[in-house]
Amino acid sequence: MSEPIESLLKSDFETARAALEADGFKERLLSRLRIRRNARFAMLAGAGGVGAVIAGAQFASVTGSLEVSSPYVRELSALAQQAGFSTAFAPAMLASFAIALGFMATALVLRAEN
Amino acid sequence: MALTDIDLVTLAKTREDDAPFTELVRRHQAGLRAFLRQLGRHDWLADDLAQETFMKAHARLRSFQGGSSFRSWLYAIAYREFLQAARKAGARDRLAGALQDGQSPGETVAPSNDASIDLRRALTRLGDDERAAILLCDAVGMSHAEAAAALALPLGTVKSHILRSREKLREALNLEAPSAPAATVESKGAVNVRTD
Repeated sequence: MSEPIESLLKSDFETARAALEADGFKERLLSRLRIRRNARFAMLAGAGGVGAVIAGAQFASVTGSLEVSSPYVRELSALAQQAGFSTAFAPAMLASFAIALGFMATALVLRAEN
Repeated sequence: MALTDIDLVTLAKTREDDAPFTELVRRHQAGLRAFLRQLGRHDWLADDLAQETFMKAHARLRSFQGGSSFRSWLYAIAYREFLQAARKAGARDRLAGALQDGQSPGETVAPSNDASIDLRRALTRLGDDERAAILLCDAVGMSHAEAAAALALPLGTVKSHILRSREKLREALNLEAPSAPAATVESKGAVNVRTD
């Protein structure tokens, strides 16, 4: 059998719940969620953009340092040339690959956030 | 056929749009807010807590493993938010209470009728866990196990909280024991809180 106190609590709860069903709370909440997500998106996109600019500015020096300081790149280039592959741009390709990885990671984070 | 909460959570995890989460909000917002309003004393604070609860649920949705119902998971977040807010408000209310000389500090509940006012006053006399347990089971309609999951308490503790709370509320509202005829419920407009 239902307790009197249980019925009181249930009826008070149902009265309160019915009054709150369509008072615009859901819309306010979803709007706040959108604002927060857009702010985060803007922050991440901004950070990614700044990172891309810095990476782009450093591209030439990264390519140069790969050419000069990495004997493996040169050895690999030589081996690849023997195998018939053109490797004139091997250091530039490596630097591009590193930057592309950075872009890809940023894109993945943005996609998850979105 | 309507999707279950778990279906919607699964969809929300895999889809890019907010439609499944929006449906979860639509289903649970009124109940959660009514629970928080009965649990605390300030309607505006209850709505803030509900909003914070849904924001956190949205952010943590991917971590929901389905070990409990979505409802008890959601109410667990809400109850933690409530306890945090209550701790923060405690010191402020104690100060305000001292200044108001005996009045209940900051009480802004606007229930619909006398019985509701009496009931909410009586509820404030219970401990937080007791109040939450009886509200979840008797008002929201959760099972004892669901309530235990939501409150992060052992099942036995929840059951004893409920028994004790019912007893305290009956006493405060001058209601009959469970064996009394159901007619006593009908005249709930006449119930009074003891003033001693």
